Amino acid sequence: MALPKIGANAPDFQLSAPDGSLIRLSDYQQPQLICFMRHLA
Amino acid sequence: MQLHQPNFIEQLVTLKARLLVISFAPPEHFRKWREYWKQIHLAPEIAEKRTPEVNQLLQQTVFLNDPLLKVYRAYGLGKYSMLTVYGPSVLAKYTLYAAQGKKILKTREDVLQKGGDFAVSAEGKITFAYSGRNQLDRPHPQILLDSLLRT
Repeated sequence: MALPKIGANAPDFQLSAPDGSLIRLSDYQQPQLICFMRHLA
Repeated sequence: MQLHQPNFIEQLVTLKARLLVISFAPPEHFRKWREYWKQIHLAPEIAEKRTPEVNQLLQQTVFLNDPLLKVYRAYGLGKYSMLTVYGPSVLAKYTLYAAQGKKILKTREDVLQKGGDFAVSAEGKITFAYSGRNQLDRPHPQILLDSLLRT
């Protein structure tokens, strides 16, 4: 499993927002900083 | 990412960048964690600094659920080994936390799942991609912003 390369198109998916609606990552205003969390304590 | 640094917030606002925080935790668990995080970490900061910066950061932050890990996998985030997660450097850090009286909470989630930090330009291109050697290894947020400023 490899990280996306610099300059590559960012992967785009539909995810659940806090209000339960489904939103694509690209729907949000760009540029973006994306933080993938590990487990929650 | 250490998000509470004033310069970071100011630059995030200037760039009109969104901060997307994605978790694979079950939605209800993630919702409770967000409330806890706001009360324990953000509220004192807002009260102490009395500046709009932290509120501005929250307005530009979106929390998203990925319980099936489809986006984690698309971004190449696999799993750590048990030896990495419970290796000497990590155990040493936890020992230090315990000595400082910090709480170390148990989790019901997958402790091996990797996290990661990425920056995406206004054109939808990756400008920064990083997943640490272990769970203590996260990049300084300025590095992510610098990658956006170079585009």
